[in-house]
Amino acid sequence: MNNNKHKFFYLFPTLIGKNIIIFITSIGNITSFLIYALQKAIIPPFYIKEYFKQIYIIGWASLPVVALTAFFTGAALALQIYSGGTRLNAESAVPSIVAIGFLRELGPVLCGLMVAGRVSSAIAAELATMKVTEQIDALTTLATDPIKFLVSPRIIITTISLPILTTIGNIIGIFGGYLISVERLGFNPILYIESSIKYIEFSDIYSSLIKAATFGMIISTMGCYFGFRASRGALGVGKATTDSVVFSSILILAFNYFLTELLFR
Amino acid sequence: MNIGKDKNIELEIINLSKKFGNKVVFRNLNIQIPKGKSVGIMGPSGTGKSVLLKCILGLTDYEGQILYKGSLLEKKNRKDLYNHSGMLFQNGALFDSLNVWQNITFKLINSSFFYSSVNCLSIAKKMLNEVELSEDVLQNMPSELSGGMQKRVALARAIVNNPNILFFDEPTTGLDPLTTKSINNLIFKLIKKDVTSLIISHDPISIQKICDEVIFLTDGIIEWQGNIKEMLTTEHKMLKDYLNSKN
Repeated sequence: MNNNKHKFFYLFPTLIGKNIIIFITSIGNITSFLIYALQKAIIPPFYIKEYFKQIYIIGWASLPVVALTAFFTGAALALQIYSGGTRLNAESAVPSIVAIGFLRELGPVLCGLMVAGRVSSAIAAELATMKVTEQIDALTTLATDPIKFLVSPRIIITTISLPILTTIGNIIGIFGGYLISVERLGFNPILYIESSIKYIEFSDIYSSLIKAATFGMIISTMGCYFGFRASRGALGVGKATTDSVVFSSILILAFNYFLTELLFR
Repeated sequence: MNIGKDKNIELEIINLSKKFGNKVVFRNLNIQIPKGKSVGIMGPSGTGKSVLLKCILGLTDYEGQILYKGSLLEKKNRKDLYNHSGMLFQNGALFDSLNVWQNITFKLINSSFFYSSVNCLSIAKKMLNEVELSEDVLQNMPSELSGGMQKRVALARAIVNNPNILFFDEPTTGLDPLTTKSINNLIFKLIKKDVTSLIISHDPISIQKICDEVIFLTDGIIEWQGNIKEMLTTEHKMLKDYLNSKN
């Protein structure tokens, strides 16, 4: 009995220590994976076709998801702020809060999470399947570096695409708020646009872009990393897909906090 | 041993060892593959045949040395070997997202700007003729092909750059007897063009048909080595039992 107590006493810190080591090792592995992929991206040969393919898959194909999410969130946000604002007689703050809220926070985070669900999972599933069916080994034997061919284009294009998608999402989100405010809440359209623009600062715009680019890098790095690490079989593909979405989402929210601290202090 | 000095040796494996965790796959393996010869590595499942191929191709870590044409292959950089070799994977390993002609000419497209689509299409057609497959499949995706057709396309991809050395990992696994026979004939036809080859198989009939020399591997050690004639008349109990069990 006493022995068992001792065992439990040691087991708990051992488990915590082991998980901390795994966590730190993973951070190291992911960082070196990312650095290697970025290094490879600037050394010839450049697989230009792959980059264009990824622009279509990651950027263009994500547009409807981002646009719809942004529109409805902008509309809901305007309604919420209006109904909350009436309690404080601050209904007039709806345009500026929708605009600033979207630019600083909702636009990049929503866009990041939506693209994480769509792109990170797709990248992880595709690369994991390639791994378990020896297609990645085949690439190597065909004198093509798999990281350079598969990972670098995905990371670069997602990092570039997300700020563009976020900008479009921001505009559509603000438009969603405008449409509800004007059509349903009776705001004057010209006054709405004027007060939306009046309080927006340059820092709101560039912080949105910085956040989006960071989230883009996180999304594709997680997708590629878990895809490349997949063990054999369908189970491995499923696990890589789930892990990539879960870790992308958590990291997006964590980095959102740290970037907010850094950019708006 | 006269390491790397013999010009007739295309590939030389010296003291190769491989472990997965505590499990030893093979230890101090020494193999020489002469130029223009086809060497078959045969043995029961789980004896490390495919792992050996992965070590040669630099797809997994190992201890020991591998020499290609007398030069030591770096563990992370095998460009010279990749540029002059072809590999047929067990399941073909065709790229899902590319069609047949793009799969076949992948190496050419990515190695030079000079290959246009028109060029590649005509090369792919020629390759399909070599592997006795109709040109109608040029635009098909790999998922639209049967197992045997996929193997042929993968074979065409492996030989597109006229390699000096070819590697085959279980080339006939999962195929029906007729397709097995035709794939064996095809490989035989290809490697007779003065190409060195290493064939991993557990099928003695394929080995007998294709290879000049045989290495029988069990539990990570070379149990028996010799030519086909010697294999068929061997008194080695383990090999004899193995051959009988497969017939």
